[in-house]
Amino acid sequence: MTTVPAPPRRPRRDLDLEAQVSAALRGEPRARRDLFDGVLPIFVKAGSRLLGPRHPDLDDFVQEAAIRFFRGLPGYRGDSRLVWFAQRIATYTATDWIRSERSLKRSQVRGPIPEGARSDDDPRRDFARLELSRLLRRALPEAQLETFVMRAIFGVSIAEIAEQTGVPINTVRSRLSLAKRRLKRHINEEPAWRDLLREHFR
Amino acid sequence: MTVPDPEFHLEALHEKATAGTLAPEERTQLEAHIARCAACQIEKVYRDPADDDPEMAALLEATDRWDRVFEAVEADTATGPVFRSAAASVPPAPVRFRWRARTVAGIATIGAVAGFAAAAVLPVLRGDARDDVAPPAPAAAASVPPTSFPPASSQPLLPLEEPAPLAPPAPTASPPSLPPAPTASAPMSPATLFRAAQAARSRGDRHRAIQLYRQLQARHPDSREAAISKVSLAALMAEDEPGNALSEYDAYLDDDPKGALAEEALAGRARSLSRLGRDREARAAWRQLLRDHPGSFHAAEARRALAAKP
Repeated sequence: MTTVPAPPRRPRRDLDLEAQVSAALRGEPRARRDLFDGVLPIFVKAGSRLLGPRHPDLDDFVQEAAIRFFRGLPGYRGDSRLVWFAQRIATYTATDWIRSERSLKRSQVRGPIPEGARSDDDPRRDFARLELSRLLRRALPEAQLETFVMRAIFGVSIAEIAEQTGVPINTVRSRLSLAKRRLKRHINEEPAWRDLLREHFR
Repeated sequence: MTVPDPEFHLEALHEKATAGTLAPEERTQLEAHIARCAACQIEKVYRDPADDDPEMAALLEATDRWDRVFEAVEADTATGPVFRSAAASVPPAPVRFRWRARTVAGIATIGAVAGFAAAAVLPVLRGDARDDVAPPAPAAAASVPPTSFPPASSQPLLPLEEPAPLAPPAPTASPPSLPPAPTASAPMSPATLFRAAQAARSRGDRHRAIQLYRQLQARHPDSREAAISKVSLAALMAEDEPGNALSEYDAYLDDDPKGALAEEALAGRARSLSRLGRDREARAAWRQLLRDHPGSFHAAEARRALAAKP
């Protein structure tokens, strides 16, 4: 039986991830582990910002994104940076979670936030985050959601979004601008969203 | 020439803030804008935690946790000749509801059953790129306040004795194509029963989910899925049947007091005891949760329960 070498305990930050791709595709365990460690911060960041860093489904989010990453790796052509490729995977995963309401189920399970919980308590903060996911799902069509997620969750610049998604910069600007208009309109139509944000930022 | 867009929300300042290059007066300007712009407030919510937040760093340092995720990913994705044996050697991931990992790990070990398991799992992964994407909601949907939720999806439930015929994979917009899923038929394995129960639970069919969890426990009492199902079943019964829920939580904890779901089971046990009016025992259960799992997701709830007057 083939033995998988013990994985490194820390990501090798100086690693050239691109160089690991072909070895990983050949099934070399160390290369796969190195790639996983290299892109893990991207997936953890996306999951933490979408769900909250202590959300019980964070591991599932990271696992799903990593599975997509490795399944998509044969299609990575090396014409963009690998971290961008991983970032796109994380964005797809995040938008799918928003669309499919998986990120909302836990808030149902947990029930109402107890009276007296402070706005910076984790449950309340996470609750606001999950409710806002629902607002995004309702308010934004696909392309605008994707652009908004890349911008909001990853802080990607407009120029980089344009490069990653292969659309002109002005299209990215337009999508972002339209997304924000739509969000504002939905919030104005529903006082509960306003209250949620006001409480979050008080 | 670009026409200035009044709705453009100071994107340049947002970008500078992300890069950490905001001048003091620009920071003041941006903060004043965010204070009155709901859309930018949402963006700010999603920027938390910051890259340099200690909590984020601590998350990444939790190497055991990500080791487990890596094992599950490998069990799910490694299909080459090298990895077939590696996947078989990966122990079941001790993480909640990692049925995909367990199912695909089974591919390497249980022959014909594996064909169906993979066929059942791969379309989910393949479809998870886009097949559950809903079109933008109509305007009327936007008026639903943020405390109510739309109904659960109505995906078909697997039959009990025979696997469902496999649909062709849905096209995906994201990650590229997977190899075609094998097709085969097999009796209901623990993983398949568990998955069917989870599907029933997801679509809100509580009665069916309970029935399936019970069948799983009766047919495969020694399986990992049956052990996990005790906590799932208890959660389903927690509201209406706290006594039965308590029995399920106790059964799980008796069998595996340090199991992957022990934290969930302890919290559920405490809530069930509270619902039954057994407040002293409930408080003891919360204390045990805090003692055994001080960093638990339920710790805040436990502290609140203990701080309340008995």
